[in-house]
Amino acid sequence: MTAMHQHSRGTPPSRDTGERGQALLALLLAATFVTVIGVSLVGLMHTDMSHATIQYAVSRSYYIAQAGLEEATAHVFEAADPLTDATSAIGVTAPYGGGQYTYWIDAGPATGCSAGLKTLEAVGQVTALGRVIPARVRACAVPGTPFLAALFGVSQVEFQGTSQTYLAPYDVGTPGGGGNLGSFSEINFEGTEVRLNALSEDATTLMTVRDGAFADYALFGFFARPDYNPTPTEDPTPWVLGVFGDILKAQPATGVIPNPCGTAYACVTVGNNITDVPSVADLREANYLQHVYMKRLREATVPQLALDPAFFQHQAEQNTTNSDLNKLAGLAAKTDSHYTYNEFYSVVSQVVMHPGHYLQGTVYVDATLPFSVPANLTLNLGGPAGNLTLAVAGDLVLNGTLVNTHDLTTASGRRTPGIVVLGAPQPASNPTRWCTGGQEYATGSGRLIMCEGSSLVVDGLVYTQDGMVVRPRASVDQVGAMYHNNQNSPDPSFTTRDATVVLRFDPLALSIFGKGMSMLSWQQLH
Amino acid sequence: MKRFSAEGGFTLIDLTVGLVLLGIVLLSIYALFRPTFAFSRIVGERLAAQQDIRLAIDRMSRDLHETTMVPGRLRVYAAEAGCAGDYEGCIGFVTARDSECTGSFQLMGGAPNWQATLYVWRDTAANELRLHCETNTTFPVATWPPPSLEPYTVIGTRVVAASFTLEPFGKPEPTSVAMAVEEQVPGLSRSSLPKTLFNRTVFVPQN
Repeated sequence: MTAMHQHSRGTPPSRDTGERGQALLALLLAATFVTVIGVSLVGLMHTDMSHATIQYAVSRSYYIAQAGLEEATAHVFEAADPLTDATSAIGVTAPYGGGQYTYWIDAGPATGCSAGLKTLEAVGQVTALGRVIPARVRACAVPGTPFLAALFGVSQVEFQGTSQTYLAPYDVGTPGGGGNLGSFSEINFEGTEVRLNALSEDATTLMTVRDGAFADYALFGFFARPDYNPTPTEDPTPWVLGVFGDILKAQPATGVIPNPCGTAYACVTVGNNITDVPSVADLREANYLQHVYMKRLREATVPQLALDPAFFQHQAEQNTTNSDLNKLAGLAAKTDSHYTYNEFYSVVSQVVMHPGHYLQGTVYVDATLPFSVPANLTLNLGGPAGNLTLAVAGDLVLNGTLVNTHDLTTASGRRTPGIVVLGAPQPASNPTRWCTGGQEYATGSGRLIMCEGSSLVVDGLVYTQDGMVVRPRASVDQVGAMYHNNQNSPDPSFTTRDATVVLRFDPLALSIFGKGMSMLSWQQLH
Repeated sequence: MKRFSAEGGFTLIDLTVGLVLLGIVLLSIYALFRPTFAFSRIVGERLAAQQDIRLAIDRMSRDLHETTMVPGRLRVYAAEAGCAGDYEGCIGFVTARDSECTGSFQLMGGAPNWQATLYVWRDTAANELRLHCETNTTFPVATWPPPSLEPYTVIGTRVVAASFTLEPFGKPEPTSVAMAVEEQVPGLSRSSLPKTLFNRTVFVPQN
């Protein structure tokens, strides 16, 4: 009480009061210390959690962008015309997986693939910690092409004798890009002397194509002869295989096509053996096909394709660009390009007699065409950079040299089919014999027969309704693709015997089928 | 009154006792929070290590997404193929990016125009995950090591184990590549927690 009295009278503060202040100070210090530590700890945890959250968001945005790309692909597949399908410049945006994607098809930022190709771009976005985390992917694709194959046969595809075949890329950059080889039925290699993509195995091999003579390895982008070991037992899968295409053991989407091996997908066989070869290593090692080089064998379910004769007939009937040639041929009243056998030969004779005059656009001939071109003559139907599609409602038999090249600097030139052998509406019951010794039979079912020593230089798609045969010493120089159908006949879809085929695969050549789309490349922009 | 006057300041003993008491209090507080500090440090170190692994894998992510599973274009090197001794977890694969593998994606007719080969491996002596861009070839060598692995970029440190595996495992035609990295967490000698962190991610090359 005394102290309280003194305090109340303005005397110095009591000891007890001062000690309470010091304790408070200590408590404040301790509390501050603990608070600083606590806040630091929370900050550390917060930073780490933020990093983890952002990385999670980055991962999610990537997969959402991928989903957007898939949607873009579906958009093209569902389009009536995949070639012209496009989005608006603002793209298509939809919520997905807690975020959203926006995709563009040949619009907005989706540019950069080559002419004639589709550019697909998608951005996936996720919001995390108040920020938008994006991922952007882009793809280049060939529209109208449900699958990629340089040479495809619905029925058997046969390589016989000492045939030499190259399935090279059309655009050559760094090594790679060879075309695929496929069948719904069987791919048969007759013997060990067959050469497929055999690049200068022992010494440099020169190939003469329309551009000149090249070392065969240059067709695949190599600047020097590849350094590889062609002996399969020592190195069954040399690294050089990676530059070639696949062998597609295909099955049509509609069901199984029977083959000699009894497999659901097409089989790969050697000689008369009907055992399916499972891999390239087995093909080269166990079956001694030391000169066959493909990347890999794989099974694929793909749609069966066909071209409609009415489409080409209609195009030819609308094509008036050959009316001058018609007049020269004495067909003054004829303005279109739908010919009978006699009309067509009259027109072709004018092409031969008048240098600089060529057929243009789609030409439709209602007959089997046997071309017998003298050895000293090259029959160039379409000119050096033309746009001719030769559609034949019968068979096409070639004896001599036939040229039908396109302007490959344009997408339309690359898309334009070269030769379309559609077959007659009613094939003959009695076959006609062709080539040396009459060894080839044809009924007008839609076969392309290259007789001994003949030569075909062609661009774009070569399509046959009932197969193609390349006889000994014949040669094919093509930029494009081949698709050979089958008219329920026992004929193989493609046979080459002791001949040379150089097929530089251009996927745009398959666009004429107008179905779906095939991806060529994929890249992650960020 | 005298007593109060004399107590207007603190004696040395008062101060010493006060400081000792404060020290005891602070030490008690520290002791109380020590496990928390230790836990904080451990968590921080583990998260940092985890971040390191993620960053190393992220560094590989785009390159692996953009490469191809085509035979001969992507190779995983087993010990029998030379990836042993100084090397572990060796892989080589192509890239279509120019400018030392970090430039723009090159196309040829819409398809990837391969520009270089990337090699990634763990240096067992330095415990580093390293990356080398080889611009002279677009085919990984058949056996490890390639002619040159310099210059290289360190994309992971304290990496005690690394591996690449083609998947599905044992299949003739794999479709993806799995990357596994194990990193040592620093300063965990007295902790009962695992001394390393492990991350495994599967990539599906899109080309």
